[in-house]
Amino acid sequence: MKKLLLSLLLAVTVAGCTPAIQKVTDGLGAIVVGVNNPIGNNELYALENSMIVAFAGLNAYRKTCVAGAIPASCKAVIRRLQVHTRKIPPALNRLRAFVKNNDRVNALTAYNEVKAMIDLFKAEASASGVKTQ
Amino acid sequence: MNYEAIFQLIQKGLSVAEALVEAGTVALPAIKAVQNIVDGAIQEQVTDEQLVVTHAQLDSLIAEFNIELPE
Repeated sequence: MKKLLLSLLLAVTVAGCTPAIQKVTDGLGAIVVGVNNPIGNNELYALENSMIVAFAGLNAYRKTCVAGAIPASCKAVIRRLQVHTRKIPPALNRLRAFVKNNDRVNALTAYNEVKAMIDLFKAEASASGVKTQ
Repeated sequence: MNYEAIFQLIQKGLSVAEALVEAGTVALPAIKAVQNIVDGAIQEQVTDEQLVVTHAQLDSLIAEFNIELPE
């Protein structure tokens, strides 16, 4: 626990957020699919794996927050982020269904919807004092 | 597939994994996800089976983060 606290104290930047959460929000924007690039299994797989990286970081942040190892303001940050992350599952399920049915037009729309949610989430992280590079 | 974006994500994913290890938490999902991205980029076509595994893992991580915080 001491080691965890030390690494987090070293890692704290603004508003009690760790570099992990900064890197997470950066990483979410890394996969870009153009309009001419239809959404299929490969694009969905890349998107979901990038989100796995992000949520692994977010859950680590949450655990350290719940453990009280970082300033209590982290709870407010997490609650604000949850406003956006709670909207992701239904949108993701729609995207998966369209990809599975090879409905490329609707898949692109749903993909952009999920991306827009991620952008909102990034904006909220930024507004909460999390720097994005 | 946008290879430049994939390389950027790998770099950032490894940074996340490093931060998770430093914080003493489990970094395996992040490392595995980065590996999946590389594998997916190399493969011609990601299989349905691979997608099912990824869906389950992502759903579980999102659900974990979305749990109401204790007061």
